Amino acid sequence: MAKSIMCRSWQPASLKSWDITLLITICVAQILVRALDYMISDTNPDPYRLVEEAFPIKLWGIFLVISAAVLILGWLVKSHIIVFVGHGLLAMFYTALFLGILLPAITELSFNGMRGMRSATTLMLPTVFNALLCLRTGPVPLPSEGVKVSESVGEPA
Amino acid sequence: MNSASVVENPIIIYVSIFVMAIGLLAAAVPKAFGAFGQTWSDWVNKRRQIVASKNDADSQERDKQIAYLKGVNDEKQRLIEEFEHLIYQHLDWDYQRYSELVGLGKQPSPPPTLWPNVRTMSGMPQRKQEG
Repeated sequence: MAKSIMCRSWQPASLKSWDITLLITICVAQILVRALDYMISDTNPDPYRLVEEAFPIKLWGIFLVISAAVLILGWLVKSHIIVFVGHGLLAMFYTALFLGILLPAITELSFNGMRGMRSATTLMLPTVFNALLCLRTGPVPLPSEGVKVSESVGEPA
Repeated sequence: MNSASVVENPIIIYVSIFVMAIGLLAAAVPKAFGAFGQTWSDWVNKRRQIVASKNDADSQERDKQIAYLKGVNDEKQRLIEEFEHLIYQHLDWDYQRYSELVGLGKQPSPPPTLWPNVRTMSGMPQRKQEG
């Protein structure tokens, strides 16, 4: 306990596969709520104007629903490449949304306060989360033959 | 064209979607993009393998340390049991009879040793000298 207060004592959280499943489930729920919001809202706040210039906001909602559907399908059939593509699609659309909200917010920082930055930073986490999962999942599973479990008693290397 | 209008151009969104879509497709279907797809796919897999092997190396090192410490613990436990056994043997040994025999000028067998068989300690794992 005392050692854990010392500098350089931090160790990354030991996430289990169940934790990742929980995070992905929460992430999918968040995506679906956002997509629903995009599809049923008639008016959108000002930070979305560049996003809406690119595509109508309802279309963005459809993009997110399709991406989430691909990910859910991949999870249900346990297909590695479909999960990979699902994360990739979500990372792609989130990145576009993130840039579309962030860039106008940056140009308006000087005369409009932090308007738009909050929405952009909210999108940062799912963007990075999906991009990271996409990269780490990869198109094919990693071979596991290199993994060896040491059971012998011996001198540490 | 001022800097704000350059930044606030939907082309940036189209480009970001295009680049990521190409990247995703190239990683998923390397053959469709020839050398570029293969290079990108190799890079993605290399990165993943580096991370996975690092995790494996960490867990193997931890397993090794645990196995080592278990070995040390087992060896010490065995020595403790051996000491206890010798101590009990000693308790049973008749000191009074021994003293009487020595007093009579005889040479009785000596008391059992309190030191465990040194040969059994040779298998004890030793740590490397540090520094």
